[in-house]
Amino acid sequence: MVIGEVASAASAAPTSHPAATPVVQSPAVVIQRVMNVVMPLRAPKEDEGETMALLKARLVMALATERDAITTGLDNLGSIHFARFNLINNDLHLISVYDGTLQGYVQEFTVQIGSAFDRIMSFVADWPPESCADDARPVSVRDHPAEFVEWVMAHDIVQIPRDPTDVVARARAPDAGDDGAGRSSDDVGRLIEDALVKQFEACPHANLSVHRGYAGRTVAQIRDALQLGW
Amino acid sequence: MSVIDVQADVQRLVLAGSGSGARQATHVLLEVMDGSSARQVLDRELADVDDGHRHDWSDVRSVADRPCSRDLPVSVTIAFTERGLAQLGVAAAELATFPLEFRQGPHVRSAPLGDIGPNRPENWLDPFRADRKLDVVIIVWEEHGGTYGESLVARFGAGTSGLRCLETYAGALLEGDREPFGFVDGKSQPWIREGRPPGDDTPPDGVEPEPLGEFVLGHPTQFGDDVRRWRVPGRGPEAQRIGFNGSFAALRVMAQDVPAFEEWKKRKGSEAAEQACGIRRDGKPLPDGPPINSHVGRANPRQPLVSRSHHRRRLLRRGIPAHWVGPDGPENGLFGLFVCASLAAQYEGVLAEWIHHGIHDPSLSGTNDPLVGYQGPLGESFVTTRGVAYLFLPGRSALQRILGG
Repeated sequence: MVIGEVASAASAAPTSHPAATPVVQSPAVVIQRVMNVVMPLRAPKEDEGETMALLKARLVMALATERDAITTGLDNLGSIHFARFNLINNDLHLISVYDGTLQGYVQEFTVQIGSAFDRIMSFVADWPPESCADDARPVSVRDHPAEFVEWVMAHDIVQIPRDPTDVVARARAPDAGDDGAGRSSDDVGRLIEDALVKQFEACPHANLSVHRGYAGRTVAQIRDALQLGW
Repeated sequence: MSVIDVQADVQRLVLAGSGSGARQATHVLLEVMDGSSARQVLDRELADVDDGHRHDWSDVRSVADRPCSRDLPVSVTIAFTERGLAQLGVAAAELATFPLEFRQGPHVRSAPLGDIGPNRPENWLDPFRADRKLDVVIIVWEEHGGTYGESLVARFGAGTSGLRCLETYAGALLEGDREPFGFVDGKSQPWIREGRPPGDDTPPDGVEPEPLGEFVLGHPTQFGDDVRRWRVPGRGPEAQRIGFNGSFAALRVMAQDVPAFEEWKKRKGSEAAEQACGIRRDGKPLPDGPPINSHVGRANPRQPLVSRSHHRRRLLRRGIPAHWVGPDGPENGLFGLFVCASLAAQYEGVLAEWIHHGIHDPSLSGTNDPLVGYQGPLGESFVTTRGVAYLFLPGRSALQRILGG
């Protein structure tokens, strides 16, 4: 999720097609979106002698087994700038920059690497969600793209705009029914602080900023320009 | 469920269209004031129409050949927003099993879908505004001059119905089945075997049938015979859930600036207009197919995509040209109704990724659809969004359960 998302200021990329005109809105709504999914690892099965360290070791081995499938699958998607897994504390992080909608992206990868992901999800807590409780078959992400998208969104950490005053600027926009009159900069500062405190009380993680080295360009354009399999 | 059962249970519009005799449509937008009376009234009104009209599949196919009473419509479509289902008494635990995009609704999801600038939700027609209570959409499809839609609205307005009519919008097919810009519309639709009459169920050459599950919940999809892919909303065994044999649809109201388009066409030539739309004015394909940067080319790309796994995102287009009073006076356009199994994967995927941002092709990335996209204050835009509603069209047995409380 994104708090008052600030779209990239970069203009849309130039195109070679004469009739195609750039979108006016900042393309960061759909181009080079950021995903930071923090997935808590499940509790180790201590009665089977599994420790957290052993659980992590097994996760690493599982990822290694699935590496080719994941690499090929993500490559085939053709909309991913990069994606990586990190293990930090007892969380598995999936960090990615992609083009398109989150649902489009996640749904595609459930098809491409669904079975690999099922394996990964077996190391993660709170999957499958309760809404799958009535399903007769074992819950695979491939068969449950919509549920998986919702799960991912719930675990995608908050993205705080580079300039958090923007959150308040948005709240003060005329459309929000507040012209901002009568508010001092101190008031504004306090509002931001309050909002952030609430946020961090609810969740300790946040994405603070993103720099885009080639803003507004899609994977399609980069691959095309570099002749990488387009 | 056998094929025949499916055809009897799925709302007629989804598989068979509005019926070949239908030339006009009344869109009735309702707020539910009292769930229990609203259920009774809707049940009674729709039961009327059921008599020989809505329920019998054979009637659907032969409607053009038989004398049709002006007093009864060709067909009636009924759809609910998430709020509408809640107002009619669907339990929160059941509603929670509907997909996120349906629960969130179109206002939250508007930005990537091209609903920016003049298209943004703040500018939508009154019943579609975020603070309005659009619960039920009934579309009455009639022969030319039919009056059932009007009489229905009068009965809902009686005050004891538990319903409040927010607005009605009239639609009518234009001469030659053209849309307001003058292109013959509706030629290219996904081909579904279950939507064909008996004896006419062989696909034309070069046409790949679309599996039922792309449009109707609870059936196999393009991903395989045993892959349901889209969860059937509801509780309990699949075939008994509220979502079984249901469909989702986006009602998208699009104002078309016909004078601006005509003026542009005068400057650029009618060939440029056909290139922008991607089909000939008579609805036939262009000799080389739709250009990649045409409306048709972007809505359903035929060329290799950046993704090597091209999953089809087909939509049934069940809309009708309509006219209404916009913020600056009378407007023409389309009441587009895009029917699918997943609003996020199909409707939103097509709009956000292909039509409005072109991420699938390097020459289109970051550009907008030449016909329907917003080209900015300095560009020439011809289509303005005037409202969107995310709707659920239940199957008939599920509908009976909803209205039965």
